[in-house]
Amino acid sequence: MIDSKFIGKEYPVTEYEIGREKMKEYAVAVGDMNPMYQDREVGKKSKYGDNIAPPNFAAVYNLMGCAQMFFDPELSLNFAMLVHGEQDFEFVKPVKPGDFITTTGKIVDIAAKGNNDVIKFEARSTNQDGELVTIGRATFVIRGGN
Amino acid sequence: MANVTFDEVNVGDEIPKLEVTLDQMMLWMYAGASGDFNPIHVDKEFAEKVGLGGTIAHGLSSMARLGRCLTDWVGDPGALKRFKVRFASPARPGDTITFWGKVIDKSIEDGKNLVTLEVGANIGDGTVVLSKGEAVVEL
Repeated sequence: MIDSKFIGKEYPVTEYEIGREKMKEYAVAVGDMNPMYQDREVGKKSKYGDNIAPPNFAAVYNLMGCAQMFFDPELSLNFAMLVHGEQDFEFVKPVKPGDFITTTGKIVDIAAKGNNDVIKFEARSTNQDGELVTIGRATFVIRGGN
Repeated sequence: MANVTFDEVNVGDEIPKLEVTLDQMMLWMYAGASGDFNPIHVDKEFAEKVGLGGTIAHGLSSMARLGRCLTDWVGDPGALKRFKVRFASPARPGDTITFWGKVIDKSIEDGKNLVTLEVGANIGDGTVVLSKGEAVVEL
């Protein structure tokens, strides 16, 4: 069982600049041809004034910080047995090309469930204007316990 | 550019399903787009060696496709406010996944028209890929 003293542990901020081509690439990779992601005219005429990223692009800019927890020597998680159990995103404000996103991540829960350990990570992303854009809550399961 | 209005949505409505047949190229494309090159997704030999019986799709790519099913319906991707799923079972190249959604609630909060849907994904043989899914869209 992972020591519950790590509940509340925060990780260094991660930074990510939203790139127009990168968010398009993400949309194309999941076959999503919504013009809001790639048609500049549609973006300009929309209420956002520009294209916006696919909501699940948060998997890239919001969840990056998880890697710090995966490879945290203090925690020494058994990465080979780790699976992503659940994901919850709260989209507060859409992100656009050029947005500079900073994300803070922390461990919000550690528990044993049967033979497994369950660890919950929360990541909060804000843009260059200090506005909260996305909250990600990820649940990871370490099969067989850590 | 909304495709649907709050008034025309009713509890119990099912949104158009999305069907996708996976191939290995899609897994490679998602790896490149997301930066997640875990060999269980991209290297067949490795995935077999660790007992997975072959590569498995990134859970987040299935979540993204379920998101696409929602935003295809609603039109404006910025309307999606809350989105959660459980990664129940892996999907593999060759699997045809059906993504679905069903309206379970309508409410007005702080002047916002909110629609809550139960959402999920499964493959033909009954395997559930994404379970306990819930999404909230603002119309």
